[in-house]
Amino acid sequence: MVDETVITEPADEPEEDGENEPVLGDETEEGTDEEPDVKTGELPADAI
Amino acid sequence: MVYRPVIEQECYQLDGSRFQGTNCGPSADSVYIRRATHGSRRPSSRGIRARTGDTSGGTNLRQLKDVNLSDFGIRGVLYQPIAWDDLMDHARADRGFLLDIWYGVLQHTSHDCFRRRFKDNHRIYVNHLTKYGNLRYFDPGADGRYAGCPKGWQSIKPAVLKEGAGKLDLSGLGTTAYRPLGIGKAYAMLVPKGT
Repeated sequence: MVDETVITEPADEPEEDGENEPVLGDETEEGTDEEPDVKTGELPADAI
Repeated sequence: MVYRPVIEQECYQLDGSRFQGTNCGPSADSVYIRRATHGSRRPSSRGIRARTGDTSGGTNLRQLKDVNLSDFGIRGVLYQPIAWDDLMDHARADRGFLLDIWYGVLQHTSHDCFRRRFKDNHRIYVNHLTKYGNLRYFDPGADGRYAGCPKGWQSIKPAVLKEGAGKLDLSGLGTTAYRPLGIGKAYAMLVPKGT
């Protein structure tokens, strides 16, 4: 049985993602989270 | 001097991949990541999409924030929402950002990248404010694939993107309802300070 939810597009970076790499950014700098998440996209076929 | 990422072919949204029609978010994020890392990480839009694990519709900013931190070590600052004037203060300080807009404000202009057939929610990457007071931005559809289609970086008056940001539809894609975010507010994710 094939699970159709599995993404077949390959992730394009073969190198290991560095757990030991320094993180860019200040964890004390906070954003806001007052509104819901919103998805973008969904082009009609004739827009492509 | 602000870092200006090179837009590579694999950054564009319309790459023939399964999710090309819904991949403006990962596409814009591929340029955001180049900016935040000064080009040391250069993922493709399809590669970022795969990392989100999302196989349904478009993507939201939080998914990209999570991937950027877990896979690329980039701690973006997500605002849902931020006041437009505050966002422009960040632009004046050379902070780049992902920006969600309602594309209807660009649909019938020279900036349109979708054959004037699209006016729903869209994500772009804004790199900096130019010395002429325009915002320099990357539209995931700006690949020059037809006559009149923009290609690469574009400049635009902030007022246009302010309107687009304020008209972002919070009701969700594919719905008949329309609930705008509100003029003067924006959904955005800043690159880390100093990048």
